[in-house]
Amino acid sequence: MGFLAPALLAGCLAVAVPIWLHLTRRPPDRRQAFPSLMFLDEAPLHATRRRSIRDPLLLALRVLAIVLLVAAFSRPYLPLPSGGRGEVGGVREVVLLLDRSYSMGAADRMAEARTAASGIFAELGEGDRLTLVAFDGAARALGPATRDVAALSAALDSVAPGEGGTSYATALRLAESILSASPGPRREVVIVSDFVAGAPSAEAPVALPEGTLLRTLAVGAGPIDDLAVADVSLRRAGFAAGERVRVLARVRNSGHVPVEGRAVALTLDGAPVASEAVSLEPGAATTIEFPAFSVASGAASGVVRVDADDLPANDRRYFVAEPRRVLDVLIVEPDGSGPRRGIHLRRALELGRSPSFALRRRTPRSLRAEDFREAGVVILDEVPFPEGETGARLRSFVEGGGGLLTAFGDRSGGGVPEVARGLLPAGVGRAVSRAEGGSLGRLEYGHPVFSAFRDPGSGDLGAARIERYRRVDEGGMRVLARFDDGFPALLEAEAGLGRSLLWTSTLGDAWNDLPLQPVYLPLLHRLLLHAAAWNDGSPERLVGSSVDPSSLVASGAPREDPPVLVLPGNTRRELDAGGAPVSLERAGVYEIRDPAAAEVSRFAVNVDAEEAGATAVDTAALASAPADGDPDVARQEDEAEAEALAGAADREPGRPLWWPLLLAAGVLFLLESVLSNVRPGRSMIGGTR
Amino acid sequence: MSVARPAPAAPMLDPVILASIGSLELLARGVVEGFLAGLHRAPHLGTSLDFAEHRPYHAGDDVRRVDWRLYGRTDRHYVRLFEAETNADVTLLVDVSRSMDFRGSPDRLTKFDYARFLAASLAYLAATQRDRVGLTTFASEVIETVPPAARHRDTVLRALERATPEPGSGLADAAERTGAALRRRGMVAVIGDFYEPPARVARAFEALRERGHDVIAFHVLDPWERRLPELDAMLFEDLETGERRPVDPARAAAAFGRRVDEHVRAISAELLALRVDHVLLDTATPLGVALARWLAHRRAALRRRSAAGRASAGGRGRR
Repeated sequence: MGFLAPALLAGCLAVAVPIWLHLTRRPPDRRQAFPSLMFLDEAPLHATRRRSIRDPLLLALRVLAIVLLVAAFSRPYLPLPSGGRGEVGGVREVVLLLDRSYSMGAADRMAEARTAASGIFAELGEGDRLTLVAFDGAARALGPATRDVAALSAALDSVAPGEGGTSYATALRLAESILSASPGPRREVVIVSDFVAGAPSAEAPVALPEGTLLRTLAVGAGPIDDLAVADVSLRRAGFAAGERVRVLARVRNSGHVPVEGRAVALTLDGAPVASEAVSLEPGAATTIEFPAFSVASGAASGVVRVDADDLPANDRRYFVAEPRRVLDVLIVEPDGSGPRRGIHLRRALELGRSPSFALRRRTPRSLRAEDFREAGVVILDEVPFPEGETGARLRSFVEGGGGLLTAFGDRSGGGVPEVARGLLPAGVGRAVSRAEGGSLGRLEYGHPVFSAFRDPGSGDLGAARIERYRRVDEGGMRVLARFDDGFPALLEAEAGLGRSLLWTSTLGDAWNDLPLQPVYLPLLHRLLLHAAAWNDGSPERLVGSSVDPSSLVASGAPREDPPVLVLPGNTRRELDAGGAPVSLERAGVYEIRDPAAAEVSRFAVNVDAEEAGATAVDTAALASAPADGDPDVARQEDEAEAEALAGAADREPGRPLWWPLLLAAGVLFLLESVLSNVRPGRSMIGGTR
Repeated sequence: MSVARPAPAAPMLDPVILASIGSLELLARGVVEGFLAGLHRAPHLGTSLDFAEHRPYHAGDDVRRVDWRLYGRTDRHYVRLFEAETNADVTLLVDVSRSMDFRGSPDRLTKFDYARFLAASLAYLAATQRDRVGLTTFASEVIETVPPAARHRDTVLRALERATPEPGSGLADAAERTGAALRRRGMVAVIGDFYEPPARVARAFEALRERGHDVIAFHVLDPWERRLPELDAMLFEDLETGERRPVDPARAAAAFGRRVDEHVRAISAELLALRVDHVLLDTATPLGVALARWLAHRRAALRRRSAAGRASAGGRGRR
């Protein structure tokens, strides 16, 4: 019989306690009633000693119960013969998930992980097989399942910490697929990781095959020095010759030791700009504001970095600052509109900064075909979809990648022209009045328009009172939001490269008070940006993500040489607009050099700041038992076991024995309780009370 | 001091068997009749017309009782007295303090029950002998009093059945009050454990003796109160005061036994000086032993009373 926690067997020394108590001490509440104490001498109880063991049976029961209890907590198991597990329990199919996220680059974590993994290799018995999987945000098997320790060790040596984040779910899903295909009767998943994160994981547990044993071996328990650049944001301010950008860097002490006077430096296009010193306690964060710089012409790339520490991967954060771009918005209003017509809409768009909105107002009569040429998005504000040539041009504008936002109002009734089929519902119904005011009911928070409002406190869209709207037949449009009575509020349709959005109430305050709500401005901005498929050109991307080449270069554009993606380290890679997504595996500034484009465009890739931190991952929530609740799915979480496994290959988990021992101890305690109450002489009270 | 020895009594006199009898009257009758049968005597001692003694004729005596033969021999008038006419007042003074509510072993009676059974048996026996029986139960003060009367047997038994252990112990006060309440000289049986200094116990009995009562003391103890058993050291709690004291019986046994013996001897000596019969009983002693001692005491008392009467008659005759 073996023990998973043999150190707990030292608890057997506890059997001395009842013996010692039996011989030396009296329970403080044990009393003997007596008619009179006038002839009795006082004797201090602590000085008394029992001459002999009074009830050896009871004492034996107590001692045995304690021994069983201690043995149960030591996690005993029936060992398997030395010839290998496969002879008795069947061959094992083991999947070893080795964390290679950038947090494993701290101190000696990867070395500890390799030692722990080697210990797992040494456990393999005859017929056992192990698949080594390295994972960060993605997971990859480093070879077929094998018992060849040399091959496994070679694969293990090839694993180094990358710059990606950690996705246990991805790794466990790969393990689940490997195990599901395995005919082996015994399945085991071992995760070797530091099990730390900057924030609790939102990943859903992965269901492992029935009977799978999940073991987690934690490494890197020691304190580390880690000052991280968690975020960089740009604050823009316009001036006559262009605009100035101020870099705000958020720095966080993700380590375990205080940081004193650590330098945080800003480098712009390779030239140092400024440096600040920070002092932070563990877990604390601060924001550093660097001097502004001008981006009057061309994009600037930069990096905010801190001095090297135990975890270098998050010491830098890259960014690209491009000149402000403008989204041209064409607002089509009803004929005869006064100057205050659409004032809420215009005011909200005038406040746009990232990007700015260039507004042009037209009426159906004044609308010209060339108006669509420069527009990024067209707003039909209570105006029916134009018919004839104007309508056709508007449709081709949308299908060519333009955006259309239609808002209903008093003048929006009637039918929809044929040219607008697919962009708007086939029929527009009557205006519905909500006497007491309705509200937005069901929203698709997963949609880009509403995703920013998903979190509590990020904007209450339900606060707006909707007094009137027009009922529409959903037709082929996707409903993004509904009123509380269930009828569509916001619909979306895609046509060609563009998309059309329909708001069934007004954008002004005629039919609702949405313009008076704080969410109006961000909602309107997001509606237009989504309609126009706006790309700000320099989004921050994370290591481990992938990017579609078609979003980087224009397809079909005439060019002599293929576009090239220049990776950090000056590695070049040709881009094919119709090709496979490009995986971004290193942090830095990526350049897209497209002969068909006038300028070189750039984007920054950074490590996931949430990867490193002091939050312990809840390993119990990583995987779930099968639906039938098979008790064989067990987890062994013992930080120290990583070290133990590395050097103790002769210790094998087997059939667990703790629960029958615990049951037996409980029975003995019960028996002891009964016996101690019924045996004559145990009751020392002689009086009748 | 006289120490009662267990006698091979009839089963009905075994205290443990008696404890299974629910009715105190049945118990007393069983005890007494079993006891009397064991004596091979008439069960109604005193109800026969057995001659007891002569006493000088006083004015008002029934002239039919004048012994004319004695008058012929002595030329003096004497009346004949019989056993049945020598009944006396018998008062039972029973300690019902909490210290009596003790038994060292579950197979024994508590001292309280033993005292009740003994008192009930004495009451029944006294009534059988046409004595007038009364009762006083006491703890820190007198709990209940039944004055002696010929028909008070059942009242006494019911009072004994009602009795429960009460806190405190006031033997001297109870004896003083009882002695003062008895209008006639009689016999007083005091049943208790006498956990008081011997001098105080003696003062209590002295209060009874001063009023001319014949007194017998049934000193009831549990065997554990004579010899401490082998117990583990633990807290001993005084049943009267609630005081707790850590005691190691193994260490304290010798001194305890010696002190108890001294206490009993001292009480016995004090009572002997007061001409009070001291009967030491433990709760394992059959009740018949106590009843036998009672009868012996009664006979001696009556004898003393007759002798006193004759002495008194002789004095008057000589005058």
